[in-house]
Amino acid sequence: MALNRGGKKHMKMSKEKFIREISNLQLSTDTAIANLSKQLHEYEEKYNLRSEIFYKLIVGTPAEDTPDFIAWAMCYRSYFRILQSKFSVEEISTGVA
Amino acid sequence: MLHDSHQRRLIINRCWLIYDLITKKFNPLHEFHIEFPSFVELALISGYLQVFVEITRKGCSLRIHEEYDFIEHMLIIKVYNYNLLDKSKHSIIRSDSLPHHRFDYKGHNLSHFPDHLHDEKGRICSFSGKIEDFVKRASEIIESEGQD
Repeated sequence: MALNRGGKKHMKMSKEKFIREISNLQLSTDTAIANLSKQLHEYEEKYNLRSEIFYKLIVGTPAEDTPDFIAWAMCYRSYFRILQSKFSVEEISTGVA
Repeated sequence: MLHDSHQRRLIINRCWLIYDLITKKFNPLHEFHIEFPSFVELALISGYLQVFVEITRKGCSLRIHEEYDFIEHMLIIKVYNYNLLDKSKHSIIRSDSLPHHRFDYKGHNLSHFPDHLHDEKGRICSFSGKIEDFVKRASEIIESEGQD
């Protein structure tokens, strides 16, 4: 078995193992929200700009065309997508219209 | 959970394609194989895949971001951003699907608008939008610079 750059044995997973590994992990929606929220906060610190303002001012303009801004916009949309999904599920389960 | 089982399967297949591509073309650190399932897991919840992987001994890396959506039973990549970075985390080449460029640096229409690539000199070039093509190009750059 070949060694990789870290000097450890290659660990490439087969597709079956890959699917099994994913099935074994149980990231909660709350953890995912916290993860994305942390990333949003890091962008906000780096650019000294709140995400809402960034999204309104930059997204959809040519200024968006930088790797950080593209990722920031994706992160922001994903954050709200999870929040929306979480609250619609909770509203359904608690009978809130 | 955000996605139904069919959508989850589509995301898993997409992530597998990316994992397979990276591990066939490059020789990432041991940790990448351990971390990758957690990238997939976040993508399954958020519809947003983020991958960062060091691909050379000299510290070059790939940063891959894809945001997914579904139309009927198909997965579409709503927005992507692929980036080959040097050891200082500066972009060597990158590509994305934002519609802010219509022409390449020679003034020709982009062949797959809005997909485009910023080449080593920062010039806008046509790009297929396929991650396979980006990884192939990144691999050629790494090989030509003898950085593997």
